Parts: sequence; structure tokens; C-alpha cells
Amino acid sequence: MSILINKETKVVVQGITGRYGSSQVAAMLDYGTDIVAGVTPGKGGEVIYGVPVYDTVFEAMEKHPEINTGIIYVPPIKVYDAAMEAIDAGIKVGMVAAEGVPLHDTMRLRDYARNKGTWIVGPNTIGLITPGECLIGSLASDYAIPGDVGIVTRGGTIAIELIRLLSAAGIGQSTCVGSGGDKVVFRNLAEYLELFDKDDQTKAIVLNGEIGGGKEAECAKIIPQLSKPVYAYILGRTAPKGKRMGHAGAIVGSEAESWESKCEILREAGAHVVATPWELIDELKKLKTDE
Amino acid sequence: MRLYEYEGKRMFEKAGITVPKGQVIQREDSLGDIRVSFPVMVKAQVLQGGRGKAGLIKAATNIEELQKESGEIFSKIGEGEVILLEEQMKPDSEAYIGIAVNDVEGFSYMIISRTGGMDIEQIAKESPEKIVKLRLPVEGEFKYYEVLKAVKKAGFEGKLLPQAADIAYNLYRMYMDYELDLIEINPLLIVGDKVVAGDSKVITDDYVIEKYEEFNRIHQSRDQVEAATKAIYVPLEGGSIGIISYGASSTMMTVDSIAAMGGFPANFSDIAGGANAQNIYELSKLILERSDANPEVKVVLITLTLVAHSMKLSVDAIIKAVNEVKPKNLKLVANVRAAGAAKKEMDVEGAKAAFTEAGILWCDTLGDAIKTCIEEAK
Repeated sequence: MSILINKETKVVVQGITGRYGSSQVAAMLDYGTDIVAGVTPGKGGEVIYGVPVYDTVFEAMEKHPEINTGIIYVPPIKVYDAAMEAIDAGIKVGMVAAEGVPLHDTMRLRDYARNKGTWIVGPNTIGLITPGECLIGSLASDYAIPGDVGIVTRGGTIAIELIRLLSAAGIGQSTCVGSGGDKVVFRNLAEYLELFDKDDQTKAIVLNGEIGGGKEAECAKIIPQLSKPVYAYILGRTAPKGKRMGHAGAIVGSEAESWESKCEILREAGAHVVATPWELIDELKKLKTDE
Repeated sequence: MRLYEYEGKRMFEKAGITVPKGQVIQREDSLGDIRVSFPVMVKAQVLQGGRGKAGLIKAATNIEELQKESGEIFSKIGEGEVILLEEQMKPDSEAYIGIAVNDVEGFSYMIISRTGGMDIEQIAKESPEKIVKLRLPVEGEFKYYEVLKAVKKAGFEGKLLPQAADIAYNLYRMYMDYELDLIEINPLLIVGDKVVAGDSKVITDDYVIEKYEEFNRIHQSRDQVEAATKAIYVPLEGGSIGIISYGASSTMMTVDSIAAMGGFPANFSDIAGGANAQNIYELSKLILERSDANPEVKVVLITLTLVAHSMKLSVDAIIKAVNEVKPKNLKLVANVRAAGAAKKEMDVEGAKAAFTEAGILWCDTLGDAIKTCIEEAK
């Protein structure tokens, strides 16, 4: 298996007729992602890349009851309304790609989605991929190969790099997911670790964190309870303190959130802490030889 | 965006929170029109913490002292930065009220402490019972009495209680109405039976600045101070390897890897708001110019992994910057990768040929490129 998405994933895309949405949809269809419907209010009845468009998610779900996953490609300021619609229409797995969703919107949406049991990836994410089965977003489809390493990241482009470098070294992935680069995300890194731990296909988990915030410390709390080895790769060792490195979340506010302290608590929790992607590959190869 | 103390205090005043009588003075202002009566505090308006220790907050009892202290402070702060003059308070004690986001839980908390000041983090660690934490409701709103009860629990009594509760409730309103990331008064001054905001710390959510007229205006004035550019460029001290790259997290990977493998990276960079060819050109130019002008920097690494943006446009933009800057003191090393739509007009072989023709050393993998740079920079 894999986490969150697989061969059975049936997708509705909100904002399918927008310029960004439609270009991403073309790439996902090429990869084989089963996009069965699109939604843009006012464009119901149109067809784009062979995908029928509806005015509301409710109508799409009525015509295509097999839909289980939603992608939201609407401008950041409209994400809250679009996601509320998806959740109330019964979507259980969602992805919000947009960078720029207001912090307070994210917090309200996060709480609502969790109470309804909806798992939303993002916001500000590159998406997720289960190699050979399903691509949601724009995540390195050329590079990903199927395998047994689960990857979760905070940043977007790092996910592409890790997939590329691991694949080149012959290490395939079960699922790779960007949890989102914002200060508050719908699901935390630790929750993805738990999903990977329960997944049969995943044998090892790569945790890619960053300086700033408390999400890596939360991971350290649960790592001792996991049955699978965790490889922690934390970005930002060279960051000057207090400087913004491009993500709203990555501000070093206190010593406990620095690169050193994050590596330290993860090491104490039993994770294999690596300093570069090449070290990560060496460690993962050791695991293979040990088996 | 973090507001300056005086900007935050203007918001406080509008919201009905008492602040010391104050006046902003600019570098070019004469001190002939001082409307605050002595003794005054002379406070540099800068965004760094620990202003007191850095000599950026001073007292003055007369105009001569004010001239001397303000002159010294202006010599230490940036062009365009200002000083806030305030009547000097003689507080009997200091307290703390703030609202911040817990990034793990995804909720905001109001934090109230009857004991405040510089050591609030220390107090939170050593005597957590002195800190009252109140989770903000996600749906619906705080009722005033909920805030009042929390403020009383924190130890505010008598005439101080309704004032502190008003302040806490007003901070809550501002936090919600302006969708803030953080709002804080530390110290909250207790002067006799009055409660006064001794400082302000307000951080906006960068994603909603445009929604609010006040923040828009401040943001535009900020750009003049900080020289607006779409490129985020962070020089790293003592570095010998410049890096042209974009995508915040993959750039961090390269910068960190250079350091982990024994080299010294000279900069971090990113492009805010999308990487089109013009932005890549401008960022490349900036990095090449800064690197060439810095005698410590010996080599610049060009590294990109592209999946959506056109490889051809990106490579052309970088080579255009190289040809314009014509760096005299730098060796240039490149490795770029592209997948999917990015390689439509130019693949990796094409990029290799283009870089080689431009006199830039090509390496076949990113790992090799990093090792080569570390060798070249020695």
C-alpha cells in the first residue's frame, strides 16, 4: 500500500479552469491520476481535457459518487470557502497547493476539517505522489520510482530533490508528501510519521524538517513509539538566527527551535540524524544490507 | 511584517489602550519642537530585541542630554530609522499580556502574567503557575467576561483589574480584526493605579497585508527603507562559495550540504512570488555582483532543479547575468536538472553545452559540483 493516495484515488479538482489549475491537471492526467470531475462555479457543463466541469462539489459528487479526494487550485483568499465546501460535500482527503492562505483562515479550516475527519495536505505544498499509482500536485513525476521509503517534508523543492537523489541511488518511495511550508499546516509532520508507520509498504521513514517552530519536537515525542526506523534530515544549519529563509514557518524564535536543538532531540528520540541527502542515501543503503 | 514600536503604539491608542505620551523624531528634525515634557526616554525604533543592552534606549532630563543621546542613537541605527521620545514612566511593577500562535496545535493563545518585563520566558519556565494561558475560540468569539476572569486569575486586582481586562480584550479584538500573527505588550507598566503599555510588538500575517490600508501604507514606507527587491538575499558571514539557486528548501539543502561537507557557503537566496526569467536574471546578477565584490568569495555554484519552469529560460537568464556582470574574481561551476515540462525546449545536455560555451565549468552531478566548489574555494 501507500499513504493517502493510491490506484483507487478518484479526484475532483476545484478551480480546474484556472490557468494554474488546468496546467497541473494536464500533468496529473499524463501521470495516470484518475481525475473524474472539475468544479468552477459558472462553468458547469464545460469539459476540460475530457474532464466534466460542475458548478459545485456537491453536484460533482452526486454524478460521480466514487470521488474520494479533492484538489483545491483556487486563489489563496478563496481557499477557506472552497475547502469548507469540499469538506461538507464529504471529501476525506484533500490538498491545498496555494501559498498565501491567511493564517487565521488556515487555523479555522484546520480545526473544522479535523473535527469532520478530513485529511487535508497543505497549505503551501507541492503535493504528494505514490510512484506509479497517483500524483496529486506537481511532485517530481519523472524521478519517482516505487519502493518502500516514505518521505515527508516541509518544503516543496526539497521533496523533488530527495525523490531525485534517492531514485538515482536505486531507492524507491512508497509515498512522498510535502506537508506544507506555512507556520500552521492542516496536518503536522508527526501525523504523517504515524501514517507511514501503519503502512505495510513503508519500511523506513524520511522526516525532512526545518528550523523554526515546534513540529519537529512533536515528532521526537512519538518516534520512540514507532516500529519503523526514522531518518531525520533537518534544513537550516547555516541559517543566521532570526533571518527569514523563505518560509513563514522557518523563523528561529528560541534556542529550542534552532537546528542544533532539533537534531539533538530527534537523535535522543532514536532517529538517525543525517546532515546531507548523500548521508541519507548511505544510511538507507545500510538498512538494506542489514536486512 | 513586524511593526516598529511606535507603529504598534499608534494602533494601541486607536484601540483605546493607554500608552505613554510620545513623539517620533527623524534624523533631520531639529529638536526645537519637543512636545513631551522631561524627563524623557529616547528609544531607537529598530526591530532587534535587547535594545536596552545595545544602548538603544536612553533617558534624558533636559534638552542637552536629549541632543547628546539622540545623536548617539542616530549614529547606531539605519538610514530612515527613527527615534521615539516618550515621557518617562516610573512603574511600580511590570506585567505581560500577549497573543501568539501555537504552530503545533494550530490554535492561538492569550498569555497573561502579573509579573512581566524582560524575563517573561524565564518566568514561564520557572514558575508556570504565574502564567495564565487562555485558548482563543476558533468558531465564535471571546466574551468579555472570559478575558476578565483570566486577567483576575493572573493576579490583577482592584482598579487595575478592569483596565488590564480592557487592554487584554482590546488586544484580542486587534488580533482578530487585523488577522495578526502576534501581538504583545511587554512590559505592561503598572504606574500607581494606571496600566500603561510600555512597549508594543505586533507581527502581521504577510499574506493579508494588502487587505488592510494601515499595513499597506507601512509596508510601502518600509520598502524605501529596506530597498525593495523581489529577491531574498541573505549573505552568510565568512563564506567563500556563492550560490545561485531558487526554491527555498532546495537552496537550504545546497547551502547546508556545502557546510556539512567542509565548505563555507556565502549566501542564501530565494525568489519571492514566483520564479520567472526576469526574477532569475535579477537574482543571478545580484549574487554575481555581491560575490565578485567580496574578496572572500572565490567561486559561485549554479544549481537548479526544474520541474515546471522552463530550463531554457532559466539557463538563458543566468548566462545573460554572467555576461553582463563579467565577474573578475570568481570561478563559476554549474549543475542543473530538469524534468517534465521544464525540459521541453532545452534538456540537461543542452544546458551543459550552453554553460560550457559561456565558460562555466560543468559537473555531471550536484554532489560533484559541490565537491568541486569546495576544492576551488580553498
